Amino acid sequence: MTPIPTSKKIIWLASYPKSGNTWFRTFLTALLGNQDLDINRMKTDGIFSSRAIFEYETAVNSALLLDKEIKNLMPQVFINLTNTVKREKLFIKIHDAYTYNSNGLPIVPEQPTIGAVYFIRNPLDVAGSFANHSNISLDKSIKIINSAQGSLSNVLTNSGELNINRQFKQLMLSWSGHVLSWTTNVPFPVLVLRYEDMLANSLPTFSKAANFMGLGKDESAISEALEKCKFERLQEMEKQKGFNEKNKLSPVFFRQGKAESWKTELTTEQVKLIVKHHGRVMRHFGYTLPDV
Amino acid sequence: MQYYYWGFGLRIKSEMELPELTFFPFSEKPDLIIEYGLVPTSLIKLVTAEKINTTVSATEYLQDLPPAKYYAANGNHIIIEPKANVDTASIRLFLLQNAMVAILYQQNKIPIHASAVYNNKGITLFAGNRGTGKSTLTTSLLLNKREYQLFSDDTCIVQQGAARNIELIPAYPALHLWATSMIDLSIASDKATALRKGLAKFIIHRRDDFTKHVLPLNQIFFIEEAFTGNKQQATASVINKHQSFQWLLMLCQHPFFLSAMKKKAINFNLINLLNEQATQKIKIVRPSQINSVKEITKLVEFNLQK
Repeated sequence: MTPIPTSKKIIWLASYPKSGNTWFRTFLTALLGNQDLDINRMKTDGIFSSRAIFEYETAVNSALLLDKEIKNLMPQVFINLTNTVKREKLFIKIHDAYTYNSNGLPIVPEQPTIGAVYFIRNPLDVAGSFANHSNISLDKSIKIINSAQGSLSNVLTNSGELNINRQFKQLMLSWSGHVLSWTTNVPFPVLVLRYEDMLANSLPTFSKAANFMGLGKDESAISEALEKCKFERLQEMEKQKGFNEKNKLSPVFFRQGKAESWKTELTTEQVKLIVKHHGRVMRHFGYTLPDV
Repeated sequence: MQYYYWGFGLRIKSEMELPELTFFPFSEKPDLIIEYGLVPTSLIKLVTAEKINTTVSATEYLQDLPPAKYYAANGNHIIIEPKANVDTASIRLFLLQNAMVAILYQQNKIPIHASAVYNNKGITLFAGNRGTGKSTLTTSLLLNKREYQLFSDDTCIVQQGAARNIELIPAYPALHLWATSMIDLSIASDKATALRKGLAKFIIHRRDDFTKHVLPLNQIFFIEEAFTGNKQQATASVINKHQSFQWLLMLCQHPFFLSAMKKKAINFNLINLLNEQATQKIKIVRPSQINSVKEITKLVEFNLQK
């Protein structure tokens, strides 16, 4: 069989966890859908680390493969997915850093990629939100944010890889490593959106993203979608029906949705630890460093 | 060196040692021959479907997996071409999980995602997609209910028997458990062997449970893992035969092979007969947002036909 030539279809929705990615996907769901927003039925196209997408394209039980083997197959999985899906655009969430597999290829393939929207949030606020999401202490959350090998869904035991999660291991690097991996020398266009701007200047910030993604939506449609995915509404929906993306261990997914919560959440020592590791990148993206 | 086994309901002659299967000397013509060698670079027959590193025709299967390349043809021949520096457990694992499924479809048999136990009343089947806890449930039940024996874990094969009878065939007598399930069930690690190097999943042989007898199907429990919102309790309910038929149809292993090998009609007919044979069908819903294996074991024990 002759492979169909790959056309570019994928827009990656990339971020370190708890940086506005899910909020943006609820916005896209409201913007692209005609019905009321249901947070348990997002209209985006899954996550890069999904076992379901991988298994559909490879006909292999992914739980029996090792992480290195998975990552070597990932680029081809998304090239094939693009070839098999009829829609013009695919919006795929990703928490993995932009890294390379053991074959020396980027795990995120350039061939089917239109571009990426990269969501960035002040790591001082990520710390508290990520601690809540994973039901871990703030100190542990900060340790992961500062770790050069920080990862999600990674269950490495003494006896080997424990592939019991619905998602693959996601190597995030440190917060700075993640940001730099997605914003430096990436071979496709990347639009960086600050979570703080999404909150404070919602309409122009979300409009910029919609324009970058070529969605062809006017300002009134964007305003209407923003209204539907107001944080309080998302909280209420989660309270009423639960949220299928919530971590099993976490009490709630939609917690505060605010900027600068760190001022009441973190100790001076915790702030110092984050700034020490990430001050340079924070400053580069316009975050004022606290005087500690 | 040649090894002779019984597994997947077949007499197997193999160049590769397969400790998962039952040692079974025989002098008849084997149903399946497994050899080492170079796999063909392409299929002889017209390719009907492709996935990454996989091509399938009506009578052939060729798959390039990390430990080895596998070629299966005409329901009676497998060639394995191992990659360099790969552990034999890894090669065996994908032989049993992928190439054997292709062979079974080529033989007009349907391997389904199901584990099963048996007693003097017949087989109790636990059907459900991968990752729903079938193996853990089966092991837990075997530990709690000593009158039951293991029939098969992960794979049961549905095949046409004499006349219009349907037969349920075990793959091989062993359990497959993740390290966490072994801890949950207090099973010592010296009772198990790693499924492959680097993977925290283990195989526990139950050779004494092995049966070659055709047994009647008694009950089917369908295990579903589902997001249940704020309701966090496992539930059990009796379902009708139309619901169970729809469910069983979707449980064939590697459905891509099934459609590429044009076996949908066979799947439909065999599953229909299997469904008719079961005396009771119960659906267990296991909330995905909590660890509920112990809870579903209790539910199953409560609903087992006395």
